[in-house]
Amino acid sequence: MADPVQRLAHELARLPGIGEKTATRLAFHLVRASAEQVRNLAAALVDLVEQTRLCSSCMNVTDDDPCAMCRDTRRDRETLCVVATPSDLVAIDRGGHFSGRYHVLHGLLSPLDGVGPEDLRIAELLRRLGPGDGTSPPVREVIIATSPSVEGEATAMYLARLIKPLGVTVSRIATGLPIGGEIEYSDQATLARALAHRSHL
Amino acid sequence: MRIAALEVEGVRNLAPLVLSPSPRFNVFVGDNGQGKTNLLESIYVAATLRSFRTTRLAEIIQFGAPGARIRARVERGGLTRLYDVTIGPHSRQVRLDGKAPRPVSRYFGDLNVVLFAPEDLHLPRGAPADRRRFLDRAVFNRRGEHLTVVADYDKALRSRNALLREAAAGRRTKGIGDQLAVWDEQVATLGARVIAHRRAYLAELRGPVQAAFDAIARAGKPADVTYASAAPEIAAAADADLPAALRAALAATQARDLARGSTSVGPHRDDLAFGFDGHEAAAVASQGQLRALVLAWKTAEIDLLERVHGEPPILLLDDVSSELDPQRNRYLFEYLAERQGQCFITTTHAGFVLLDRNRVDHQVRDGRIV
Ligand SMILES: Nc1ncnc2c1ncn2[C@@H]1O[C@H](COP(=O)(O)OP(=O)(O)O)[C@@H](O)[C@H]1O
Ligand SMILES: [Mg+2]
Ligand SMILES: [Zn+2]
Repeated sequence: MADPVQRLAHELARLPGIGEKTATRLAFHLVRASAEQVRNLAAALVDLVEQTRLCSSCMNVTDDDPCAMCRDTRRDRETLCVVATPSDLVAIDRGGHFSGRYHVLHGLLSPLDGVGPEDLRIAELLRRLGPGDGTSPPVREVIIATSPSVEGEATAMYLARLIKPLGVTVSRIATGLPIGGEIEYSDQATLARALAHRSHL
Repeated sequence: MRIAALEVEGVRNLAPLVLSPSPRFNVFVGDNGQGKTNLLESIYVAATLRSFRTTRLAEIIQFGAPGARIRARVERGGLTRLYDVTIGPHSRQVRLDGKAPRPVSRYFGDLNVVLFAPEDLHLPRGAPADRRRFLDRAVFNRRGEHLTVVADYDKALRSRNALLREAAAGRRTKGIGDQLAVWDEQVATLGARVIAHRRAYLAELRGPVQAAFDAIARAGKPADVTYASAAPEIAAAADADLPAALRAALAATQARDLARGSTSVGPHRDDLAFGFDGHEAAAVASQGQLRALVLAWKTAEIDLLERVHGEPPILLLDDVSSELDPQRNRYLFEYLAERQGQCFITTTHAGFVLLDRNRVDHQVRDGRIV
């Protein structure tokens, strides 16, 4: 392989979900693509590092601080939805069912990977729950939307321990059967959770 | 259920193979080291996505090969499903009827295999960790979600231990109480589920094991299998009180755990107790009686699965005859001949396999099956 192709393939292979084979195929694809397309891609990549930062309020990735979501006055200021990653935020917001604001932790507690509370944006979250400057209403409810994995549960529980004493309601998103999913075809773990987290009618 | 077609490529010393197994007895005869266990391992991996020999699935890839692939066409109740696993050095790709099952736990359930290996016969005198694995494997066949619960418990436990060691080393001491409380809670809730699953399983299996033992051993003395929690307060707790009992036990041992850097109570310290005549079987029973006890467990396990799933599981018997005396070997094959279902049996001598009907014999030589 020619050196630049190899270098690109090497860098691409470090991305999540891309193996060496795919990386090599992508690299050779770009060799054949139009120079303009490749330059646009390169420029987009450079902009990514030069023009993005974390919103000083919600910690989401933004090109503007505070971010558009934090500036949007139509969004409910009293409800915060806490997510692990910016892509989780996108997934939840795409549904359009949540009109409050977000907070991005940038990870989950994971002692096995050496990730502790100080490695996450937890201090920034607690700051948002404080008394504030009186210009905006205080947060009344924090919805923790971490995944139902071991780390996701542990992180949710940890946050609840810190937030509840502040007098803020803490809730956890329910997990269970996917809408449109059929009980017959659901796996046992999902069914067990759905039963354990049943709600009263 | 039965495997109607099997294709294996790149697994251990096996040459690429295509097999249309008999719906009843498939006997594989060969000297040691020829690939008999490797064949059973392939079937086991296709059904459970795990190996019974190693926790690193990539180890089954043939030396020098890029990957391994196992495909099984399974017929069950008039339905045909295609199980397809590809294993790379760092990857695992799973397909069910050509599609990736999401979540992957969907893959399990329709294909139940029960393995009976010579090592199992040594369990009563073996290490507690082996008995726990043996028990968990049986529970998983009974209820698929046990696999996830055990994996999650294991992760919570390792997380707690990592945190204990960090704390002991003076790192992460800020807010350590809140952090430990969170992992204690994970260990307690998941641990309670592991214990409850194991207890429920033993409650179902205990009577049948005792009855089968009486029939096999004719010892005139009763055998028993029970779940033994190391901590008395956990052993005494009812299922509903298990999370609280575990929480209390973890709190009580926290100082010691911090000093040791590991967790001293929980299902990872429990045991599957084999009893004979009111004592620990390993201490009082003869070797023949101990083996009869394991054989009794296995037949009871198979019968139970057949009852709950409404269909006989597929049996993998790996060279078991070489470890059984002639009388118990005869019992095993009489039992197998009387029940329905597909069996894969390996042996070093065709004569060990005391079946005269419905059997198809293959020779295994140097990874080739003929
Ligand atoms: N990853 C591997 N690649 C190639 N050969 C292997 C691999 N792992 C084990 N083997 C070979 O498989 C053989 C053992 O096969 P096995 O099925 O255990 O034999 P048996 O017929 O006694 O049950 C040994 O010759 C061993 O060298
Ligand atoms: Mg063998
Ligand atoms: Zn923002």
